[in-house]
Amino acid sequence: MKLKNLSFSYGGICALRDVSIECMPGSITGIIGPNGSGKSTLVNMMTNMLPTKDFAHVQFTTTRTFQDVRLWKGLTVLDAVLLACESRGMFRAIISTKTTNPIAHEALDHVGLMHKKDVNVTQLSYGERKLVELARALASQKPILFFDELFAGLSSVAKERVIGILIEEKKSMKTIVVIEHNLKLIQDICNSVYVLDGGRCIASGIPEEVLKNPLVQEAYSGGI
Amino acid sequence: MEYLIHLSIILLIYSGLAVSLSVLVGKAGIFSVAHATWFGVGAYATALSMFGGYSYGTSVVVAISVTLVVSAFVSIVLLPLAKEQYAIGSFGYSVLFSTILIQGASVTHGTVGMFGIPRPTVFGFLLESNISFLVFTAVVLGSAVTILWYITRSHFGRVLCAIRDDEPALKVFHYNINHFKVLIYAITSAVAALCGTLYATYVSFIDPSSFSLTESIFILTLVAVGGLGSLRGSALGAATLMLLPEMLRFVGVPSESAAEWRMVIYGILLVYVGLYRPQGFFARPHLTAA
Repeated sequence: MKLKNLSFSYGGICALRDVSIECMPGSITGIIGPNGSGKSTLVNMMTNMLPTKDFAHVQFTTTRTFQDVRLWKGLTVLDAVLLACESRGMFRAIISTKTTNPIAHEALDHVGLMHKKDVNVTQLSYGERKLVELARALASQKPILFFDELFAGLSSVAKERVIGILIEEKKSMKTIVVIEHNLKLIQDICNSVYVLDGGRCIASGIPEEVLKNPLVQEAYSGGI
Repeated sequence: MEYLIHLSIILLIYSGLAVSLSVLVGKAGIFSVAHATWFGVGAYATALSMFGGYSYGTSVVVAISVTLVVSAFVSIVLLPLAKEQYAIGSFGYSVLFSTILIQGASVTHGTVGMFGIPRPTVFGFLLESNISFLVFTAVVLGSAVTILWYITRSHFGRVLCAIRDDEPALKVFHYNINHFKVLIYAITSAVAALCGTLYATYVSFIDPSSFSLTESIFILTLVAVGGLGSLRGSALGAATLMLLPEMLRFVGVPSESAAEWRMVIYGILLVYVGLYRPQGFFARPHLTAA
């Protein structure tokens, strides 16, 4: 996935300015930056949540999880995952009442929530809901996956499980983009990292090198 | 006995209206206050077709076809509007329809209304008696409600819930949300029109007052009291509120003041539902955790 000169403005406020990003299949790319740096805008543009003419073709190949979990409160865990892998066609949707789609079941099994498939999503803990979002993203079978602060709120056991899943997906040549504040995690799992600040990309490269960059330390952690 | 049969027919028709609106508002989150408009389109289309010499069956096909096309068009026009604005937009259509009925007197007979609408003939059998009409109504509306129930249980129903709860999140998965919204609006409007075809041929007289904005709000009240999104709750809500005037009669409220008392009780019930039972009286409580 190569994105060149990505820009976006909310009214007169520029949220993203000429950002170029390259993410390779079979790799994990990290995007970091302070609040308001444009990370969410970038993900929203790439995942059909903000209008973009130039990158519409990319939007069809992506899926995502959300920083603030966004599951549909009227649905069960299985229903939420089925929405990602069942037919998008209107008339086929009317005919279909099946809940046995193996892709959805496999995804839930993968994140360890198969036993909660019939539970309403609102009855889950925050960490479990994050895992449902992950299962939903996996079930969509898109080649490019955006994970927005996926690890926040997860237990250490769940974190290990999710890291394992991401590495598996990476091995199956998926393009994975992780938006994260946990720099240690970025260093551990990412092949490359981009740092955004004020809507601009201020640094990019191998995590070890980028995180040592004084400009990055200044922007991201106030130089601490 | 005849009175009970009459009551049952009216109750079934309003239950059909309430259930169809419940699917639209409660399941899909599309807040329309124009449901009586489609009820009226069905009734007037049936009356005009039957006066034109067509059979009941043909008239129903005409009524539903007209409703599907017009309601789909209305829905497309209203699509860009957010929830509250959507209600105001549908309010506009309701007023427009009433005005057309009144001003188009050469066709609709204006405020005088249309009377003498014949009873349906089904498979050569004239539904002259109320009991035969009750059976026919139960079969027709039972089938329509079964279809609606099936839709809410299907993947389509799942998509509707997602549209209601978080439409932008669904966009990530590339559903054509507008198509789903237009189709469910057209389907639920068609069920309302079907209720209209039964109403017109049962009471044999229709005028604009039966399909006004007030009537739309009344149907919405049946749904809100019964249970938004709950098919069974909406039907029970309709039964309760439709039977209320009859109950008042039995407790000795004079018939001349029964209408006022009915409205007072409706108002109290709505305030109570709004404050303490937002899910309605006959539906399960909403799961409200974040």
